[in-house]
Amino acid sequence: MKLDLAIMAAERPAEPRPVRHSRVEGWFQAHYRELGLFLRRYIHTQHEVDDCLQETFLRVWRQEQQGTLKDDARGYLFTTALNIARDRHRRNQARCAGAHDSLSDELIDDNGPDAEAAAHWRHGVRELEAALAGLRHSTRTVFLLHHVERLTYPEIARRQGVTTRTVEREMARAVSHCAEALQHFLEGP
Amino acid sequence: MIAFASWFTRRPRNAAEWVARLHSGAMTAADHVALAVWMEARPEHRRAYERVSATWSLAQGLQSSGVARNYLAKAPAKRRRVRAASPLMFGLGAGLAAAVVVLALLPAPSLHTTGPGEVATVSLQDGSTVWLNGDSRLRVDFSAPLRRVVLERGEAFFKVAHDAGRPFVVEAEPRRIVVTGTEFDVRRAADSVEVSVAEGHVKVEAAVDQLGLPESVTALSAGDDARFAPGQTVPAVARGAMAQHRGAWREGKVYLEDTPLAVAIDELNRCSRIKLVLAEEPQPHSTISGGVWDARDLDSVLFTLHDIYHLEARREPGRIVLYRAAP
Repeated sequence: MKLDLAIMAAERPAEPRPVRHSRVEGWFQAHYRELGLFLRRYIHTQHEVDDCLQETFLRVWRQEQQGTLKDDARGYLFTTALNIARDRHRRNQARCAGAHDSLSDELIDDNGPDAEAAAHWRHGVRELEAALAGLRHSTRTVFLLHHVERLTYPEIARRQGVTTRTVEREMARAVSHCAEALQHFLEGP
Repeated sequence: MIAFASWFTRRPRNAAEWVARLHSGAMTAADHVALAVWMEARPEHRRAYERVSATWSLAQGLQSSGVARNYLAKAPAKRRRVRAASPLMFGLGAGLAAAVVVLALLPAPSLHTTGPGEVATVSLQDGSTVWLNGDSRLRVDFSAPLRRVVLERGEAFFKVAHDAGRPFVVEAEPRRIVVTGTEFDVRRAADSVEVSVAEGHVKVEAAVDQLGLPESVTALSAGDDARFAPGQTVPAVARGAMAQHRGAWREGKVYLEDTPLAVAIDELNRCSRIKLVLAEEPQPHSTISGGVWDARDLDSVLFTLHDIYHLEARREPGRIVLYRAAP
């Protein structure tokens, strides 16, 4: 799989063993808002921020499970988040060469676009376009209002006259259908 | 009823539901933990999550897709609700075409400048107001999910409209002031940066470099005053200090208390079109006090400077030269 989750996959621990009283959970709870605001300074799309938060938690949490956790909670959480943001940015750049940037200038650390990755990415977008045809009209609209018009769930709910809960459900339905349609692409060579 | 409530708050059960929740804007720290637990529970959970998450990322590419835009063009808004309060909401209510126009208009960054003695009021699109003191320069960039303004020079008083979801960040390099809604003053003089809070809470951060973590984060409340001396990454904080007088310049007033003479002259000049100039280097410890000065009432200013501080004034075209009266 060439897409951006390769890094997460590479870091999979052999046997995750849940820690009963997780310190990392506490840190994360305590710094959650702050961490989100911090990331927003470097990342311009909320989508990337959400993903980064999840990846950050996962990475630090795993280290706790493996007993390799460092001590300085706050600093470590923030450094990890920033590194993840940087990694994601590099992958994004390779992919959307020429498309608009999702990160602010501050993070730009130009590696140069990777033509092959960009072509692969464009191919994926074409497949996704095709998959949209299989969605119900209302489901597709909700999905596109978020991804194309960048409306938030509450904004979509108001526009469509439904609850945000329904928006979330439609969103899950849409992405589930698309992921299935793209299975070949996602698991391809 | 119980079933109904738990249905609303229930945790997602599969990868697609998790990804949809992750980007809902309603994700809590506890949800992130629950997602990690779910993901680690079985290898197939993780594989499914990666697939769905990669699909979600790909959807970013739809922004430049004609196919996607075509679909949207055929999907008019179902419920029209126009609320006068928000221009963005108005755009949505007025239909997709209008929404697109509004979104396209939002990102244009703007630059605001003032000359000496000039005070400008800038209304920002989020409902915030900025007063720009004389000889100042402010750049506004709301293109990101962040409300970002850069004070490049001078002083500005901010009355920030509350929006917890979209932090308001004032950059006065290399400091950042992060707020969600409050009133405060930021002032750059030479290499120092000063922040005074009139209302609410403010967080001031100093960064070593653009990418560095904040070297220090200082929380300020109403009445607090923080000053970064050149090169310092931790500010000197005066709690409940003279902050309430900051922003007085909006009415042409200047607050001077033990203020070094050269700084006092700068402050007065910012509020007045006629420049005061010191004829000679001030003596090292000469300071000006007296509380609130009305900089626009130049005669009173000169009178006080003469009577109390023994400074004579010589009027020249476009400026007034101050010199120490002969003993």
